[in-house]
Amino acid sequence: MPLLDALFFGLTLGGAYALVALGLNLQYGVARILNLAYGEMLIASALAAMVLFTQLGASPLLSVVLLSFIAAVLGALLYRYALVPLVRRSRSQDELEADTILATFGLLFFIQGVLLAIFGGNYLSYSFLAVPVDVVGTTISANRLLAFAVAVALSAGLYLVLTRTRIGTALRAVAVNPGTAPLVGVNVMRIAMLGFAAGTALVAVAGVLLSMFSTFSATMGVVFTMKALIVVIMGGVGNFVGCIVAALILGLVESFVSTYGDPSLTMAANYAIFLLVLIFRPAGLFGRAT
Amino acid sequence: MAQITEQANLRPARGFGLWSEPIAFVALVVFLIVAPAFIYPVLLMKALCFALFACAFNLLIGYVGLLSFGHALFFGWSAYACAHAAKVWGFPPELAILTGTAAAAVLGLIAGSLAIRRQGIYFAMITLALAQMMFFFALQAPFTGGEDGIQAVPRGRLFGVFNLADQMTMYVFVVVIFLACFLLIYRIIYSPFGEVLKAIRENEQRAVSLGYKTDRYKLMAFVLSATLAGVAGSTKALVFQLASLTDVHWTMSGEVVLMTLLGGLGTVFGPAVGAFIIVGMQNYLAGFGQWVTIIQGAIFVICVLLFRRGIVGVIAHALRIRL
Repeated sequence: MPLLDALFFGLTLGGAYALVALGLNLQYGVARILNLAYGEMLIASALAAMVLFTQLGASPLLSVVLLSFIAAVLGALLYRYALVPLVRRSRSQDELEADTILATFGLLFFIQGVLLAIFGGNYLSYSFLAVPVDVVGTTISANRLLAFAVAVALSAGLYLVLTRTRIGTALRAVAVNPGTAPLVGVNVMRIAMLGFAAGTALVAVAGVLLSMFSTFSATMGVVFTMKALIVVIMGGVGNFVGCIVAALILGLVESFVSTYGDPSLTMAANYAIFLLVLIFRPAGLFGRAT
Repeated sequence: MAQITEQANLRPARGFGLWSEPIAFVALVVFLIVAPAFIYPVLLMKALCFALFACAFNLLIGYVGLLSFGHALFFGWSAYACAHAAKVWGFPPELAILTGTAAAAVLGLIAGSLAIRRQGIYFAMITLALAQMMFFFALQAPFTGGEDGIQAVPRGRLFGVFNLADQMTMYVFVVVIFLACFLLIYRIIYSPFGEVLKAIRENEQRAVSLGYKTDRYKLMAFVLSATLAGVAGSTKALVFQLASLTDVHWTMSGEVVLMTLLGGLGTVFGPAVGAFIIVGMQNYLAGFGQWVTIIQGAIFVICVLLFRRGIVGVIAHALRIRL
């Protein structure tokens, strides 16, 4: 049944987008760093998982833990040594955004260059858990299902952490207003660093999970950055429920456009939705006007 | 996105400072006359096209404070329009370039009227999204030639007289275009219109309260920037006899940001200097393969972190002159 297939595919696609966007939402929403090298970080962890799997036989489910830890440490170092000086220097939010866009844009070239030097420009993939599973009358591969399940679990976990713990509350306080958060005893710099590091850890998780069923090349990072940006801005910066809803909407739209329309139009449909949101609801679908 | 540029050139010029820009301009002209003796003309023409592109981009970010992340849209589509006009319609080079420029102006008007409604990050994202949409359109559209691009574009005879197939004739043509556009940009920057743009960059609310319709000024600046980027793109299409997906790709938008940043945002000569350095680097380091990308990325990061003024900005600041 094409309708059910499209629905199901759209949901798993949306789950993958949510997974990809969660980290950027933390980095942009909490740490106020618009990380344009985000997609390159995703590709780097995906390719690292591939190397670990093909060379050492390490299961991606194992390497996801290792790689997300390494990514968190690298993210914290990056924030501390490259981005904190920019945060200190900037006199306004606009200025910081411009500076961080430019700095992470350079980082994008850098990571991409390193990946190209190591892996070349070819498309790479490996096969893990590529077994079909029957779900209510339609088949889907186990690795996609797994990625969807992890996305749901991670979002739920993140939601609980953000709403039920002290650290989560501090993170949300910084996301809402970094200017007034210190007044209630929040160390903004430290929380922002935590948010940024958690964001890099999440992007590593996304990269490893997606690597189980997608094909990657060193130069396609920007695709993921754009997807994540579209989802984050559509859902409202720093709004995690909005982020997931936006991801699912985007996944469903893409799936239905490619099932009932023209597959080559999916990217154009993506950007058209993004433009409409930017122009008419710049604070996001669920955002309040600022 | 106010305060994005260093305000090195706010000081009124006096004494030697009054002559710094004319002197630098004469030095530039002398360099362009002497250079073909030492440097391969095609490389020089490439650098000049990018220099013009960067100067056009700088008009927007340096003097209005708007960071566009989609300038490849104007550069690339003007190249397509120019190449199509020259090859399929058989236009002479001057008309082909005008066609490309007009295409960029129209695109600039459309993109600009959408983008200037928003500031800061949203402005950058709208321009990026528009450029990406048009990139995927270029990938699909039949007349762009998809992955192949439009190849073997004839350079033709300028005004029916000068044969542009000759490298030196083409070089002189490109130099004249560059210098004319450069002087035009200079004229715009120091015109009353340019002063209003700078006022908007420094403090938009205050400009509004003084009675300026800032949206109109911003749109005008956007269209001018897009149009001049179109001149650069069209000229590039004739120089290389090629219009391809590379020209509309987002990396092109990124490179022009890098060139402008390296040379100095909001300086008159900075973008051209940055363009020459980047093009030269890409050419002479081409043997290192992917290392060029890595080096370029590192320069970018270092520039943002340490040399926010850029090369020309640093010199101008140190000598306390305008450049």
